[in-house]
Amino acid sequence: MPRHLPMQEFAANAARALQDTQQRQALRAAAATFAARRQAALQQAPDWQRWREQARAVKDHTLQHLDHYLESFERNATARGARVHWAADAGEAVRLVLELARAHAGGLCVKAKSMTTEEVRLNDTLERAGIEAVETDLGEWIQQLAGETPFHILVPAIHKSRGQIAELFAQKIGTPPGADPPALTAAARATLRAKFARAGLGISGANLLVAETGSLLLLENEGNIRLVTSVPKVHVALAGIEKLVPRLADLDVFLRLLPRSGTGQALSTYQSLLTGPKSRPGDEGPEELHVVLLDNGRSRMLAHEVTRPSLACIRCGACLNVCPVYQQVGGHAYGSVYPGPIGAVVTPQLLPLADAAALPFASSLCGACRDVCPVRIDIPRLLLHLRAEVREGTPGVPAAKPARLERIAMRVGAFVMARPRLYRFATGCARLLDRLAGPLLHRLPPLSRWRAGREVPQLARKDFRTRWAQRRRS
Amino acid sequence: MSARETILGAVRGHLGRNAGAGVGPPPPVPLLGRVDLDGPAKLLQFGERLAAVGGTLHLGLADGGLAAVRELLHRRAPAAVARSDAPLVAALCAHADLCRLPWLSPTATKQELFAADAGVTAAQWAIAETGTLVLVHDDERHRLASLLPPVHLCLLPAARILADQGELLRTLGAPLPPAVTFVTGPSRTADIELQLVVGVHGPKELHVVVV
Repeated sequence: MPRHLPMQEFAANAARALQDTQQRQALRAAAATFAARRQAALQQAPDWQRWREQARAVKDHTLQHLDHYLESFERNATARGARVHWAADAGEAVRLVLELARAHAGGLCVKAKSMTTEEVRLNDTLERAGIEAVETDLGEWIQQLAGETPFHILVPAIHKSRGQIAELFAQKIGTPPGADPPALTAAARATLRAKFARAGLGISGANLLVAETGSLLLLENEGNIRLVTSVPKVHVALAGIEKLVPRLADLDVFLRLLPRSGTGQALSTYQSLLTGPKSRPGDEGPEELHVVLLDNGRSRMLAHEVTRPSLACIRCGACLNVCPVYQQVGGHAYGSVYPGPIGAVVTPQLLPLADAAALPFASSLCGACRDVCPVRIDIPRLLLHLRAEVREGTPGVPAAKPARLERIAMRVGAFVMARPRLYRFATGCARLLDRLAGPLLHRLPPLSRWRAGREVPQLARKDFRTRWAQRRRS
Repeated sequence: MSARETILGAVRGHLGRNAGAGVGPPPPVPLLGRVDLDGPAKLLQFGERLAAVGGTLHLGLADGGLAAVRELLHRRAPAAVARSDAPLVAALCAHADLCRLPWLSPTATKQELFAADAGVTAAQWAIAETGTLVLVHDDERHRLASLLPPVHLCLLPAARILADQGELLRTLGAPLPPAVTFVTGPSRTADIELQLVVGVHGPKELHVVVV
């Protein structure tokens, strides 16, 4: 059972990831490819900003009235023969799916890639119950064979080279050593087809739920989701309660934004729009369709107007691809199912804050994530909000105590800054010290520690106020 | 308390809403794509976009797609060809030039479909803006015939090409059938070093024959 790295140890995880030259090369190549593809896709979409605003307006409206749309989805899906279940936490969700697996799987489930099933650690539970759960997305299957968690929410094995994957396949399924990507893909197709033909239960997530029709929408490129949702006798979809949109017509804008943001495609290869199980006995498709609506910490995010937009996320992965931190340290360092900027936002809210207190600090707050976000989530603002919660505490969570030195420095800083003359004197001293002994001071604590990952700029010879005064005189 | 009540209670509590509280209208749905293309322009755009995603367009307007399908199938010498139950497909299969091919029944089993070398279906709609086929599985039995064989041949009546996906969503309307599939090009993956490989779980080749 793959385990995440300890998320409290982000700094140590990151330091180790930085030593992995191969992984950093893969990340660098991926970042360049993603940026170029997204850029090309946006050039064909002159109305991009209008689409973003529309999508966010729909999400805001839905979240503000989420109880209404959840009930409406339940009513309409049920009317079409789907079974709607509710799971307040991960434990309830896995119990519901486990029951279905025991009843229908015949010992084997096929899975579409779903971050939500990763979040509740569904595979572990099924495995313990002796039920085989096979990931069928190629990247996700590679990670499953390697015994690793996904590295990226869209491209789970993005950190692995073709050589590493060829070696893994040679060892696990007996492909010839040194096979190229087309040969590896063909081997995966053949191996997984045998699983599709035998599995009694298909397990998927959902990209969007449509309240007015009770439908699920699933996007993909490979075709494995089509197989998961149409070959086995029973299909169960696990979806967060935030996946709702009110109307069928709302899918238009999300279908425009999601693929372009994620992979730079105008549209992903396949969309499955599923409404209930098959309606006539002789038809193709599953006999039963179950939808599990999962809360697991999501409803809490509705409470505050700052945190509520966290639930607008459509899991496109664009913020990971542009993040200077993710680009260096990759997905595993975060120790969470959800890595990158959006992961640093949702993980501390889904889990007890104290467990993920390091993640809101795993950002330079440069704002690239906010600029690319297709639903305009102000991620830096959310990170600052969460940092404040970590530092000052929230109901039920005591404030994290800052280091004594930091506390003293902040207090001294506040004292000095509130006194203009003293401030002027202090900055004058700092300039003098910097000029006389800067390089030496940088090597001594506490500056040496701060300097380990940063450049210390040299202070200007004249401060702004002096230069301003001189300019006004001349 | 059931999980349902727990969740709805938590949602309402955090939003400060009462059960059954009213909902204003959601934001209006604007037109997002182009809707001003005429028939030939839509066909042209559909063909361009289909080619861009690795599909191939064939024109069969004069003969119902006979020549194109004959050429595509005969050169493969298939051992088994899946087909849907669409009248367009049935008419084609019955033609003297094609009737000797090893057709499976439209109600073939999953096992037979897994082993088929090609699948012939029709499409209910297409979207010009993205080069997408829309398969409405209530109207035709093509959920697996369009997915399992390595080659998918799809007959598309030219008049069924819509301008954009917004128009499609308005056309589908209620009640929705249990499954609608949008197909834009052959199955693909980029999960190994972001290198594009076609034909992972679905068809490796997609041929659209406009009739």
